Amino acid sequence: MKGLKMSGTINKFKIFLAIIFVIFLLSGGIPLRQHRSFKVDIVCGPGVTEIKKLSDFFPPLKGSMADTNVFVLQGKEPGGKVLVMGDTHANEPESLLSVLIMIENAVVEKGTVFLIPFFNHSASLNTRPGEGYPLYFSVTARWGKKTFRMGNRDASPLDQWPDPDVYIHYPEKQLLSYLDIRNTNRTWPGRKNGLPMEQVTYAAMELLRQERVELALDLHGAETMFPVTNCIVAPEKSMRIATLASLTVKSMEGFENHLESSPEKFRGLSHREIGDYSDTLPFLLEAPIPFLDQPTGPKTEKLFLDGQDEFLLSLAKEKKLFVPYDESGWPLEKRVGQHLSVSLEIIRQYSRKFPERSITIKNVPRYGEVIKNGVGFYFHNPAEASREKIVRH
Amino acid sequence: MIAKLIMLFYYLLCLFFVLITVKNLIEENSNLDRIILYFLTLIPFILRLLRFK
Repeated sequence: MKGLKMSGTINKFKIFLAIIFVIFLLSGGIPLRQHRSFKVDIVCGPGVTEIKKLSDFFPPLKGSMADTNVFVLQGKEPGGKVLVMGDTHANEPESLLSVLIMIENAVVEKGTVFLIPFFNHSASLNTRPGEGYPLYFSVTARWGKKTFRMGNRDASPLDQWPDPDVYIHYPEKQLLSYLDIRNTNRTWPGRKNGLPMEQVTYAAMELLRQERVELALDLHGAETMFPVTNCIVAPEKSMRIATLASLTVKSMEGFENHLESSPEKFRGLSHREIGDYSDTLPFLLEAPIPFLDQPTGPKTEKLFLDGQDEFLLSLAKEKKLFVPYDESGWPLEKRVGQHLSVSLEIIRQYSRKFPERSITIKNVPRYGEVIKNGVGFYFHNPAEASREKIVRH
Repeated sequence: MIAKLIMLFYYLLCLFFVLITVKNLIEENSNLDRIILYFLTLIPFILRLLRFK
């Protein structure tokens, strides 16, 4: 009799726990599921002449989460070619916003511009566990709010798993952290029969080789406490153009963007391998993102947008940061404006040096304009755009 | 190809752990701590099987 009573109590306890379990599972799981299926509406601007896939340059990627859109902006006049990549690290979304502003606004008069907004597409569908990152962020446009996914640095384990104990870079055989096998800025120049992220960079190398692209710009963001921030990273072959671009933005637009030399012995990075394994001149642009620093307050959407943090401010007073930092923080407008101006300046300097292969781009805002108008100002309302102009990504 | 096979085996392993844990959970009729532990153990396996995380 006592046993039966005990068994009944246990069963009630199990049912109670099962209900709690389902509540936890749904409240945690559904937002993650929604994030993975959330789409960003991109309104193609007047300059977009074709939308390709990365798999067009390397068919094995077709149909996988690693495949991504390549927006082509072909000028009326033939000229040079440039590739601009955003979201190589999807937790540095100023790169994504900069590329999207180009897609929605740029008009190319001479040459060809290839734009990849979600270079590591799988990482843009991933979330950052354990650090309390927001799942989304929004910018204010003239017509309302435009929302984007906040991704992670690495591709999702749902798309590429298992990781090796040690990642052996191909073809240089350098030993790297196991996690970097899912980091598309450690897998260059890629491997034809490698893991998906190695195939993504291999496909991008194929794009550069098949299309004979002259310039490759990889947009990023970095912590204010990290020395390689607020800079252009370039190998020897790109250094002259990078130097001229850095000096010009400083004198003409009044912002600092120093130069960093691409280390020869650190393998897998775009600024090193693209230059070594193709004729393309690579550049990696870093904008400071206070949100990425470790000693900050909560990782909120506000911190991401305005870059204002009291802990970083006190560290700045102790001269622990590698960028000037005051109460105004380091807002999104500044970061995106910087990426756009430096990208345009690199293209302009290249065009001056090689006039027969020059590239002329119009309608892309520069640093001062983005700061004045805000980032959202340059995004068009998908509700007002014609259906064929919208790409859901 | 090998990575895909390992991934498949991983999901099968997850399924096996879910089934064995649920079986133990149903059969456990005295120890409350173990029941709680079985529920906690199930969470990551189910999230993975449903491809949530």
